Amino acid sequence: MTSPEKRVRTTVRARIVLAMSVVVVANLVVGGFASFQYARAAQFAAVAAKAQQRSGLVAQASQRLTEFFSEASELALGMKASTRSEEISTEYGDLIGADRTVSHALERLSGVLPGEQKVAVGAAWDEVRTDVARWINTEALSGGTPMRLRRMEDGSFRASVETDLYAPTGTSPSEVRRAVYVKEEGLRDGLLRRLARAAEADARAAEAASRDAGELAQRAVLTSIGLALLVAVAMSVWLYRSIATPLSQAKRFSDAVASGELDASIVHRSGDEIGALTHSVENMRDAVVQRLDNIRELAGVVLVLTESTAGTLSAAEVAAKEGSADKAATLIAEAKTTTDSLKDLASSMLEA
Amino acid sequence: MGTLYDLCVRAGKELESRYGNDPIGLVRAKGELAAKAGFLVTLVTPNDVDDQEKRERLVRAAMEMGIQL
Repeated sequence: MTSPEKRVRTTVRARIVLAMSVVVVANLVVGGFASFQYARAAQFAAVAAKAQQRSGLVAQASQRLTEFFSEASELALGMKASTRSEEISTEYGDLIGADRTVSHALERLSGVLPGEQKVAVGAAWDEVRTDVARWINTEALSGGTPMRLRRMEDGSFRASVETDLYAPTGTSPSEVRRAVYVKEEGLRDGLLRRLARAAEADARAAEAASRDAGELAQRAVLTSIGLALLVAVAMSVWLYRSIATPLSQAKRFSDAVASGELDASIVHRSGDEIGALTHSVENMRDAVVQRLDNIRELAGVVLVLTESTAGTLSAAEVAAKEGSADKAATLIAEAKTTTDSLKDLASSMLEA
Repeated sequence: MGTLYDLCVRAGKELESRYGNDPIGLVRAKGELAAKAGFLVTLVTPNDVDDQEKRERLVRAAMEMGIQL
């Protein structure tokens, strides 16, 4: 059996642990939500970064494509102007270099594109460069230049003196050039621009989502702090009311009983150990009152029987003086009986 | 609760109503009742054995003091 003090201490500890547990659980819940939102914000930020990277690659590819057409136009112009063959060769080299640059830029772009867009970009670029090669070969034929552009197995171009490659089909160089411009515009201003817009839109949406998730996480953290404070205050009040108040009442009650206020009462009636403690104090008060009642009653008995015995002994004294020894002896015996009964009553109280 | 305990309570209440404003008189009256009954009335508890003889002595003592139990 544990002592009341130990039980009260255990109750207080249990309540403090309960209060701490409530605070910890509340913070775990809100903190978990905040962590989830931070993770979401990070994910959206990563998506936004990828979309921005895609947008940059599209812009780069578009720029390289413009340079490629610029090189093609310069070569075509050179062939028309009957430029020296060395310069023409250099222009061919520049065009082939620009072709590699565009291919490389589009490969990098394809690495971050979904499958269908990757295929579309590849097909459009293949078509455009093939038409450019046909255009250049048409211009070469028209200008009397012996060099032609030849497509190699790895997809790259090479300039060589061959006349059977990309033979013109009867169309004039200007018509071929117009057709190439249309396709070039279709690739750069159509497909690539659409990709750029989509990437920018994705980046904006992901940035907004990341911002929203971050704000939500911040609010969750603030809520968590506020909740912790609120719960801590509520728990403090609860602890004070459930422990300090009844203990204070029990102390006031004990003080009142100690100062003689035996009709004092106590209000707290909880079913826990604190309530048991106050109940014990009340029982102590009741026991004290009971003992006092016993003592008062015995005091009354003493008073009554003492008066009775005094009267009996006085009568015995008178009888003795009058020479009535028998009567005096009877009265003394009666007094003795009375004192014996007093003795019995006192003993019964001592035994109780 | 036993009948003896009930009788003790009733006798006590009757005396308290009679001597409500006289504490000494109340002590004396309770002492007289106990002296006549031969036992201390305040020592009787609800759990005590219901003693027939004590009951009769208490009723008789109370009657001598003018109390009808």
